[in-house]
Amino acid sequence: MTFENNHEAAPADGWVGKPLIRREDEKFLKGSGRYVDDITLDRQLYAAFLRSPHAHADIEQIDISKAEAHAGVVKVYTGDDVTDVGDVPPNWVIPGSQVKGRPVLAHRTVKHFGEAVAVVIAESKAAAVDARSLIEVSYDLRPVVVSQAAAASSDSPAIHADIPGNLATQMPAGGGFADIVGEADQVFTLHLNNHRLVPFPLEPRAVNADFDAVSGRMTFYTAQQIPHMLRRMLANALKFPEHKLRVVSPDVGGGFGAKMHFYPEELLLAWASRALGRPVKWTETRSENISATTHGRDHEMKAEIAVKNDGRILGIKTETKANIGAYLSSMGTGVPTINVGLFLNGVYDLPNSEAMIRCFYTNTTPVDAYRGAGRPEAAYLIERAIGRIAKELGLDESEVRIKNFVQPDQFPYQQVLGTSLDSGSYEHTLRLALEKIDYDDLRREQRRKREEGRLVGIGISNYTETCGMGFGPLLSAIGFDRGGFESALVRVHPDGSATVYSGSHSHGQGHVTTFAQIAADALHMPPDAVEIVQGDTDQVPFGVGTFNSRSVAVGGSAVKIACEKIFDKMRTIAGHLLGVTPEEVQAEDGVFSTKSGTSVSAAEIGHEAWTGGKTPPELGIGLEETEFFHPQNMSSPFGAHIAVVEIDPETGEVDLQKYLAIDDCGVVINPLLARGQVHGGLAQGIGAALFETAGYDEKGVPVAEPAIPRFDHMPHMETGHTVSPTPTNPLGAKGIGEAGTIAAPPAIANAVIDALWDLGIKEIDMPFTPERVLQAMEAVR
Amino acid sequence: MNIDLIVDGEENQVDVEPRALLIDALRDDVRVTGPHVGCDSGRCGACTVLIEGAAVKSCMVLAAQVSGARIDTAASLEHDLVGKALQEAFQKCHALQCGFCTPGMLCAAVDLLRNNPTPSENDVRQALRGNLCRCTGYQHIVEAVQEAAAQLSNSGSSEK
Repeated sequence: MTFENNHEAAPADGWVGKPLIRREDEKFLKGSGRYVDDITLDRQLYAAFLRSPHAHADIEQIDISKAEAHAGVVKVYTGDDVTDVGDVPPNWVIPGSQVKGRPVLAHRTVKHFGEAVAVVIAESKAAAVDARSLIEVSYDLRPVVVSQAAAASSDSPAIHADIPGNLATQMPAGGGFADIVGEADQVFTLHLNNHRLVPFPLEPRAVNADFDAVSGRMTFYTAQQIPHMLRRMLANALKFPEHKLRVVSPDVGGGFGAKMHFYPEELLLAWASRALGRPVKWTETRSENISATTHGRDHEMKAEIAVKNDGRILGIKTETKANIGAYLSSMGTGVPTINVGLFLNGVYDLPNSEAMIRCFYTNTTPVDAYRGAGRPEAAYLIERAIGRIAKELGLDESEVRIKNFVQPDQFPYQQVLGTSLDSGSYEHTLRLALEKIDYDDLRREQRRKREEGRLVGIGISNYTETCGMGFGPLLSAIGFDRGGFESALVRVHPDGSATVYSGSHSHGQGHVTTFAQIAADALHMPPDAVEIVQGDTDQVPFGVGTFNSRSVAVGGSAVKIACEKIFDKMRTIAGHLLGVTPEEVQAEDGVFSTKSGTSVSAAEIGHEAWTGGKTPPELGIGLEETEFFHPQNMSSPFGAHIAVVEIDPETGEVDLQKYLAIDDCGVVINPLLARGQVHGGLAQGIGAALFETAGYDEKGVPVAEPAIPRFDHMPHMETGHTVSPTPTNPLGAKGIGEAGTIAAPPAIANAVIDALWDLGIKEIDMPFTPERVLQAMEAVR
Repeated sequence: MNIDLIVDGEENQVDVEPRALLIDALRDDVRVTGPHVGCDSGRCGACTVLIEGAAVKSCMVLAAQVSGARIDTAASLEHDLVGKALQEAFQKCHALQCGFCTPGMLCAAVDLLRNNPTPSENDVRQALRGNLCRCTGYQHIVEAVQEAAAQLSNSGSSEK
């Protein structure tokens, strides 16, 4: 059959590590995926939000009378109707933060373009949209603050009257720079911008809130990466019992971190459904997505780098101003502080480094996690610093790296800035990458082409991050309240097949296949006998969700442990049925046999487990286990990436000619899917470096939708892996989903600067569009 | 107004407003939810269907314009030699992750292979550039289309 894997016998070394094609693909290929917007309920109502066209304004008056009178309109709500609802509380707040959550509908003042001002609920989409255009709002404009630099300046207007200096939070890290700066041969200053990005999953956000007045239960469909966490946050905010709230995230069309927050529309629509006693559905338009769904990054950074002339770094002192937008989104002060600050040393041994991170409110869309969530910002700084050092000192980039890497015998390594790295062989992966791309030959080519006047550049990045969060008490200490475990409830049915109910939630990652591989090995059954269920809090009792590249490491480990416990019981039952000890039972492909050739099937074992007729009662009825895997530590993927560019001196166009990624994500469950993750991350990293922005004009209005890379913008990506199993979980697996977005921007930046350095250009900011390149060239002419 | 939408081989008489886009009529009235809405400007291609065999972004067409025309979505591709070869190749090459762009991508690819049975990599990238994918980085999709082309020419059949 077309869509099943060839059902061969189990490989001798197991299913884990095999490039199985995905078992969940059939529905997507036939157009029968089930995304939230595909679902329409009985007595469905539809919502349309009216959003502010101004970045900062007082609402003088809202007239909804014409809208209310429009055919098909059931209700129109404005900010005055929802005063008892409360703002959406953020969920990761580092101690000492000044918190302003997102209002469900604007209070008297709008503070960013796209903030919701009113909502129309009607019998049809068309009626809601048409009625919305009849709402009349008069605004009194207020001064707009777009950049963090403006927000930080002493004469800046206050975004929130009770928050002085627009400072949401600040976090220092590390220390000791002043002690060593005197010993430096040279000190360089580096300015760079980690520019704002729009995550842009292809599926916009969608919600269908269905309160059933008869049962008192609510079913809440939402395109989320974290259905269980959303259930908790929504239940708390709505003062609704969590166990009566069912959150369903069916197929989700990409998330990238934008779909892991509790959004104002979710709270409002749940509240409205309860008030109206009917289901209310809303699907974001792309325009709404650009302004109401969270953005990523947006740090302005400055670093002082103290070095010796031989390339050894004595220390780096970084100051960064983060733009967090008009209100705090769920992880609003956690990502720009902890996730950036702790990783500013990258893969290097720099005990005298320090950082100060300040987060500012502005009149822009809230900023939160976006693929990499702080680690791309940090890697961009440290890897650009390496590139700069090499250029200033006349050394090769690879030399500077090798001189400063944390050494293999230093692991586990505690960075002075706070993060703990579990493993890393940085020089090994770098040399592998250099060899694979034929680096010396590339440099020879570069010299030859430069003599012809061509602008060729080669850039490297070495990255690390930590994945697979995490340890509950530690997370709690930094204000992260979600828990760091992951759940797997595994049940073997009376017919011998198995279902894994997992708290992870795939939105493209392929857990249906990878988790089945893990389960199949532990249960000694074929992967096709194992079903994976995710995304429904009625079927999966508890969970945390998919983000931080944690699903295999934490969710997959829960699957493995639960399945191993079940297998032990299956073998025991088989032993009883076959009249031998459990140790004498061999299992393969769902058949449990003895050396003498007698056997029972998984179906016979399943039937026995659920009836208890032929085994001692002490064994207990049933064949299911719940495992909450609670990691004590996070794992550290790492890698070396190399980019080759050529820049057209007349048009300024950057042609990315070659890109090589060597990544170490520990044990790889499915190399085909892992490669897909690397490609996807790289595409977004390349997009950030060359094409994408989320810029505003001086009025705080978005300038344009970001340019998302197309087929012909992408180079051929070459990938490879090394494997250093992590000791932090029983699979030895780390995480691979975010590596590309972390490593690609600095590799490309270093290549671009390598190409332009001899023209006198030392710094240039992303995205490296033809316009920016030409401007940089013009400035040094 | 009453129009006749022939979708995946089935006739559907639906009553739509003159301003109704084909994508909305397909999803809301005919209840075929394979083609998706990923943008509001015609830039993403997630809504791509085949109209009389040609790939068209269904958000750029009024439903009333195609009354009586044959419309195919990803749902009927398995009955077509080129469509089926592409579906198998997409699975084999891991050319989809979240699946949201996939129904539209397959329709665009069917049009390509019907017109150009042996596309080069550049041909594929140019022909499909109207379809955005945010998950795969495109490389596996290119491989899948070329794999399908190779399978079709090996089996000695390619369909116009």
